[in-house]
Amino acid sequence: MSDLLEHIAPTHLVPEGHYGPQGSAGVTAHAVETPAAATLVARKGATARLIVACAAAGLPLADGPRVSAGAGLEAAGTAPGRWLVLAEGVSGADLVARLAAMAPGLAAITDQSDANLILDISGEKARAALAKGVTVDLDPTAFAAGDAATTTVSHVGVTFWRRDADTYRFAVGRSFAPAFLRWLTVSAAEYGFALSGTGRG
Amino acid sequence: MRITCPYCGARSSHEFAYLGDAAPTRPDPSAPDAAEAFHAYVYERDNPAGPMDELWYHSAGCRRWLKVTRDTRTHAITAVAFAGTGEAAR
Ligand SMILES: [Zn+2]
Repeated sequence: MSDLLEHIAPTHLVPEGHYGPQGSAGVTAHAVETPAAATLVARKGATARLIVACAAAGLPLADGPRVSAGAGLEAAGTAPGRWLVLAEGVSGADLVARLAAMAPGLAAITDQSDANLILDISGEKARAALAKGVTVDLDPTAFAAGDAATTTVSHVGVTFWRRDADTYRFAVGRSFAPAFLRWLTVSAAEYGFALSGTGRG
Repeated sequence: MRITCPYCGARSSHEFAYLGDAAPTRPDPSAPDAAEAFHAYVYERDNPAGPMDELWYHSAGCRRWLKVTRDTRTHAITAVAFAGTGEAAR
């Protein structure tokens, strides 16, 4: 561990590059160009009405720890009546305005666009690498495409979901992202780890 | 030890913060014996060997308070529900 990260400042993101044995990468991670993000929290007693209103506006919210997509938005359930909503290609203010128009008076909506690093992790060894720190059962029978979880990885709080059969999307608090990436890099390096989107760190 | 949160599913106990006995309820502060009642509410606790209702906070997950029935001798958990009432107890 110390050899691999010896020359990388713990306060910086791990720089993009290939880590571990040369050749094909068993694990690939890409830091997504920051999408707009917001938390959507139902007002007291309004969860069911919020779900109905958003469904009518094209966003079918899951009433559980699952991700859903619609109307150009991606919403991950994080708690009863709470969702983290992402949107690409719009500003945070636009996203907040869109959600407010979808569910007038039914939810508290907070711009979180700068709060998280969004990381897409894939590859045939992605699950093996993630299992070193994710204490949620990632077997496909227990955590299928569309499932989401809010948990800790290596003491860092994360929300993540399985976008499709191949890709896990992680939202990691931005100031904790360097620590999370260090954990991921040392966990994935044995399989060959290709990291992109983090620039020079 | 794993606790099966009603929302999040089975999780390591490391994700939770422990409060303790779920039985005490806040006394009426206007009652004539309020001082004694509050002393008991704050300080007096049973220490059962066996099943006990406890409050746990899922701090690293859904951030909801849970009422967990745990056997203090074996750590076997027989029931978990959201604490509170009404919609909060969903
Ligand atoms: Zn939970």
